[in-house]
Amino acid sequence: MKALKILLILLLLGGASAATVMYSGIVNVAADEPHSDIVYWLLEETREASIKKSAQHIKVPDLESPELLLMGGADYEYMCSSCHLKPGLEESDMSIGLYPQPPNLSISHETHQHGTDEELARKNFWVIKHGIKASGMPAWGKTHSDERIWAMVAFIKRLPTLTPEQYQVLTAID
Amino acid sequence: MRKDRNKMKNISIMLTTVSLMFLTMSNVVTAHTSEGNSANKRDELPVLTSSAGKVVMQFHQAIQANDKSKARGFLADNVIIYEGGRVERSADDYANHHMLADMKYLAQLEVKILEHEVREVGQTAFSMSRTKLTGEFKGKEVNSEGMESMVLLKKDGKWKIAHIHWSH
Repeated sequence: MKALKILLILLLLGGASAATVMYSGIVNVAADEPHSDIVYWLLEETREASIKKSAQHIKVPDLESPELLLMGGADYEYMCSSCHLKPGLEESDMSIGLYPQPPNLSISHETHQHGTDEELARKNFWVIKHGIKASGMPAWGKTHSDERIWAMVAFIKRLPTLTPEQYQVLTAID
Repeated sequence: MRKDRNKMKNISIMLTTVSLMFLTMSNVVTAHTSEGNSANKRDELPVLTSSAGKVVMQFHQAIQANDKSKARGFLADNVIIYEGGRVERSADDYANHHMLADMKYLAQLEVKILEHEVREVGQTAFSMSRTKLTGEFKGKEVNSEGMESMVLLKKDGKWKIAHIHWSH
């Protein structure tokens, strides 16, 4: 009984402390002020674990077909390139201003990327479809079919190998 | 008079095709050799990232997707098409006649590109490809190879298919 009382008091104190922090306005939510290292690490690890778990059973189709590359290229140009950049564009207002900074998908991340091509494709599909909370990444699955999202995944896979001229041809809409 | 003009146009397209093919014979041989080494996977990126090659691929896709108006849009109005001993002398002729049969035929089959080479030389481009067709059409098993040569001309910044020669 005594232990329960202590637990209740602790819960009340915890709630009151959280409410004080929340409503005092002392937490800086500005995107131009980075998280502390520990908060950044906590958020990043949580995000990666969540995506990995959610994407683990997604079946990856053949991503080599020319149709997918053509479809995905046009969508990437209009939906992704302003934040995730493209060959010949090393930064943009969006890539500089967003926090966390969106990954530059036009360069190869082979040196620090874990997992197989298939795991990466699964993760990319899940992120494009469902988005990521409070990061600026929208859930494109609300307005786009799985086929179009896979096309973007296929295009992103080839993106680091493209020259600016090749990118221009592949993404142009006639 | 019109017949003479058509004849001259035919001869000019044929000469262009033959000379361009001759000029790039070494590249074609290279592409053919690499096909054997890379088993079933072909990388279409070099074709897709040339503006003329992209037009050819989009034309193929439109035909396979049964999209008549899109396929028609990639053809020059006065395109000349040789197919199976027949000649179509304009895009509208082809769109209203044999294109529909081609669409029905290809919709039933699996089409695999065996080799594909596209070269742009100034305002002219040519495309050469071989494909493997498998499946069943009208109750008959299909297992054949098709060959395609195209000449494209660039006008007002856009590539249009000016000549096609198909053989199966």
